[in-house]
Amino acid sequence: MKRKKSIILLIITALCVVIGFNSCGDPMSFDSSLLIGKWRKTSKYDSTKYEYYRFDAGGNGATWDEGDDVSENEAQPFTWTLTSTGDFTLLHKGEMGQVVPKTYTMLTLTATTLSFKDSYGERYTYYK
Amino acid sequence: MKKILKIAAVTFTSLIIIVLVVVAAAVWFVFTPEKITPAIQKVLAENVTCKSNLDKVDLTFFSTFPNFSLKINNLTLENSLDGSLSDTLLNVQNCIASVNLMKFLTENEVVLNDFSLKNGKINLFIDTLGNANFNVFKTDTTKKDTAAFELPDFISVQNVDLENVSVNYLDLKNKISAKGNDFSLKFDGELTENNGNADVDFSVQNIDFELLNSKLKAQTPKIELKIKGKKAESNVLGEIYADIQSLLFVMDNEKYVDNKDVSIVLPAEIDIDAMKILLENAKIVFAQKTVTLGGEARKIDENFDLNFNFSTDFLGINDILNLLPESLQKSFSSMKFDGKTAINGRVSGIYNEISMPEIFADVYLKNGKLLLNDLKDYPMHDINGKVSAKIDLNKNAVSNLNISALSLKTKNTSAQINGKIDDLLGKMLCKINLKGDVDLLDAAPMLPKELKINGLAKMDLNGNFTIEQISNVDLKNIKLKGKISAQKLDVKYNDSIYLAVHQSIMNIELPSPHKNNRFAELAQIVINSPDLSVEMVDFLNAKLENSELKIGISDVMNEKEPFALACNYSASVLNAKMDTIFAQINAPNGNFIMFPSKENTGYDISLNGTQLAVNQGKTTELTVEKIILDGGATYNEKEKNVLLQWNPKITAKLSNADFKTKNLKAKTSIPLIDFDFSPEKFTINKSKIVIDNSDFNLSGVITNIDKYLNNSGLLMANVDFTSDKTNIKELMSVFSGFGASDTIKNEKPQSGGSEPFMVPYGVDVTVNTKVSYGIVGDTELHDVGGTLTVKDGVLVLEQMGFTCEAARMQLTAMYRSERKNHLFVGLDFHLLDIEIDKLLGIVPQIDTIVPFLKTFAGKGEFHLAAETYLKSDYSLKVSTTRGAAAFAGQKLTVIPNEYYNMLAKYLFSKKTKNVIDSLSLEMTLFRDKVELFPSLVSIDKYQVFFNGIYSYPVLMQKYDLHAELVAPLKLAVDIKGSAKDDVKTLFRFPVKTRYGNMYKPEKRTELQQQILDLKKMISDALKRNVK
Repeated sequence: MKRKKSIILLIITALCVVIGFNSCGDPMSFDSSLLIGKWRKTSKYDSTKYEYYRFDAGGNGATWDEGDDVSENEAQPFTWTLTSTGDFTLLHKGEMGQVVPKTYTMLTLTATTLSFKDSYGERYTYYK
Repeated sequence: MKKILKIAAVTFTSLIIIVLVVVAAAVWFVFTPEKITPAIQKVLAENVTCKSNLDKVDLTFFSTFPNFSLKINNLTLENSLDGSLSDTLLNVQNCIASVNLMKFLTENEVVLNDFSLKNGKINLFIDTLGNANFNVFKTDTTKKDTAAFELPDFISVQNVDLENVSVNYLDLKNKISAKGNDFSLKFDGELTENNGNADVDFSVQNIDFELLNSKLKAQTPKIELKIKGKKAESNVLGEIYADIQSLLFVMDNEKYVDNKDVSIVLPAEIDIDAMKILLENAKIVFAQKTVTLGGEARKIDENFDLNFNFSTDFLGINDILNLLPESLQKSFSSMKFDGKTAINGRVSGIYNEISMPEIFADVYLKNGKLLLNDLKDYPMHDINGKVSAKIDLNKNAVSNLNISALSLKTKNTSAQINGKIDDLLGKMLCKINLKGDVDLLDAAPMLPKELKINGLAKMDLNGNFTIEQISNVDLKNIKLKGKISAQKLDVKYNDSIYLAVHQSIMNIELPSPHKNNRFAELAQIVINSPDLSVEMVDFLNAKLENSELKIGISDVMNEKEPFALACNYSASVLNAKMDTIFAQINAPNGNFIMFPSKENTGYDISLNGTQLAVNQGKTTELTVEKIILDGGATYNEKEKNVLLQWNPKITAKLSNADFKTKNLKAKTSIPLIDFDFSPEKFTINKSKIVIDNSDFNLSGVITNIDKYLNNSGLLMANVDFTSDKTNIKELMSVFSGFGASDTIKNEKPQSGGSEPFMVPYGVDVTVNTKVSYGIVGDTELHDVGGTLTVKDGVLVLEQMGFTCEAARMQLTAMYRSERKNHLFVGLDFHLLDIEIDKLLGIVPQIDTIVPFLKTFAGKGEFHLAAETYLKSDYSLKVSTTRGAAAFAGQKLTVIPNEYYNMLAKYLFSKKTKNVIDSLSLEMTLFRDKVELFPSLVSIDKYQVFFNGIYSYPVLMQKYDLHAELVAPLKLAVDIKGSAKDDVKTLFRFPVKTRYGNMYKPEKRTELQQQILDLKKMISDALKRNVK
């Protein structure tokens, strides 16, 4: 029984070490300039077409889904902010005055890959 | 003339006295010339004041017994007066007188058997002071002639003979000059106290008579005069024959008679006592034209009462005109006459120094021809008839002319004229009745080139005008009134307006009795016709049945002003075609005025009528029970759009109209509409409209129509819409797609279903609504009020407030049909003081977004702002959906159900009421996810936060929920799952609590603050528009 306890303690210790190493690593940093441009992923409405996000410099952007019969010139606007720590907020202001805030956590931002998740853990990944 | 006779009488008497003196001398000196001549010379010298001389006197008695004859050779009297042509008063080479001495001595009868003067000259002169050279006989002023002169019982004059005697007469006082050569006179006569007879042959040559101060001059190479007469008591019966050759009569340098022969036959009966002369069948032949005279003249005091008849045969009119002096002929220079004429007349009335008798004349015309220079297109012929003239030359008197049944023909037109001409010698005022059969084509030369009339007409016209007005075609001053019955009337104007009448009656009046405010009407023509058609090329075809047209026209002779026309019309039926539009109307009446200017042509039109029916092809039908229309138009050919070309301005009132069009499936009726329309402004003063199940009153102003039609601006409107009942969906379909581009119109609905509502383009319409009862689908609305704006493809319901049985509501909605498969809809919806169950009834979609709301009861306020794009079948384009909603309520009741009862059994005390103090929910909708932000619910001693995210629009197809008890203990649970693939719901318990300190500022975390900020941002944005 003692032996079992020792093993469990060892494992916990090992996990703590591993976790400790991880937590002591460099914090993740994101370059918002990489966000600028048009990102896409396969549309959920038509697998032959794409859903787009376009991030413009200055914090504006637009999104549309060609699979849902919406073209870029019919895209709906939003504003975006991205902190270096990965707090990624999209603010969709509607024409009727409504505000739809969406907060995400940036996971990956490279020249070709954009990935973020919402507070419920759902991931969204787009590519250039 | 009287003066000349007086002078002649004096001369003659003087000669007789001289002869008698000579005879007496002859008695004394026993007939020898040597003795007689000096004696006669002496006697002559003693009895005349002037110088006298004679060569020889022969006296015979026995050889000529019982006649006593005296012959004087070369008798001369000389009396010099300044100014006289000659000192010689008298020079007679041979003077013979023979008297029956025995008759005179025994029977007191003077019988002058021979008296002759041969080869003599007489020079009579009166100077400016009235001194006469022939006043040469001495008078004894010391003796008074107390004994009256007594005529002999019988005077007989036989063989009185004047031969080759010339006479000069010059009266400077009275400015008279007269001379004649070769005076010849043969006279035989007898005179008793009561009876007598005379036979005179008289001739003079080279008569030259002149009134020096009045430029009157008469000349004739010869006058022959024969007089035969008998006297019985006071009655003298005789005949005068006169021949005047080549008479020249000049006055004021005007030749009134130019070398015309005149002969006169004058049978006369004279009543000396009554001072009356009676003519019967006297004839005056002037230039071979015979005038027959009859009648009488009577002298009463200083007046002559004349009553003569005269007549002629039919004479050539041209021959008569040629006899007129040149100045009078010039009066007729603007016309040419031909034909025959005869005159019967009379001269009647008093003649004295101040009065002239009246002349009455009937002039008969036969086969006359007349060509007026100003009417060369109308040569008149077959002129027959009679005119009666009354000529009164007295001062201020009026002469006139009556025309009786004067007929004429010109071209294909014939006419009969009756009437009269007043002031015949002045302005010639004509009052004429004209009846005629007219070929209206003949009127072409009188009409402007743009106006062509064809047809036949029977006319009965009465005219009032002067000859000058007719000659000048002075239609402004000519008065004309009458009736024309026309057949096959065909009128064309400018090859753009046609009027055709098969049969009609026209009443014409000139000048027009009617006035309009657009132009001065010259004439009015009233046309009554059972069938009349009008065509305005490329614009209008119209047919009128049983119509009456009162047409006023402008001065057609005024070339400076374009032709204008006014028409007051009425008919039993009007059929009209305009482009593809056909219209029929019963009992139409109104006015139409066309008034061209240099720039364009203006029109005024008014129309009253009933039972109007209008069809445009098979696409549009309009029926109107009653229409009152008033307006005008100005045609501008430079404009391309038909409406702008005509630029109409119309005021209209329509009653009980029904409207159908191919593109409008809804049944539309208009019980009443009252509007003013122009391309700039369309004002609906009042209207009541029923479209399917909606009835409403519409009033307001629509502007910018012209700019809209020119594609240079939006059609703008601001109208009030009030309704007892409105089916909003049906109404929307009426206006769907108005003004959309072809690209939008031609796009097929994606689902292949029905066409979506397309918001009108090119318009900026504001509709102020007030609807008592409205229906949207199955939802009933009451007292809907607000503003609906449609602007160039965007429809906005602005601040639309209304109440339903559940709440006070406020809605601002936007609908934009960018294309048929991309329809934007946005809502800003506020329900205040709403019962939750009613809220879910009104907007069932809320249950989809907030499914747990139906577990509560009570009142709260709900705010929703959302937008999405729709496909043509109005299905969502989920990827475009963005929304936010908030609900706040106080003292809400939790509706007991299976789960609540289970919780209550284990968690709540028995006293616990199922009431929560407050509930504040904020949620967002983004694409296919609804996110419920953490909200706190307090019941009994428990405080619970719940939040989550779940799929939309299919509820709970996927969900991730979090519930967190923060009092009396902290405990949380996550519930996550998906309806797809039978994935089971995962419960994770316990999980970390997240919101326990959210309403404790001192302990609130950064994340909790961010959540509160977001909730506030959402709520504030939603409530910002609440009024």
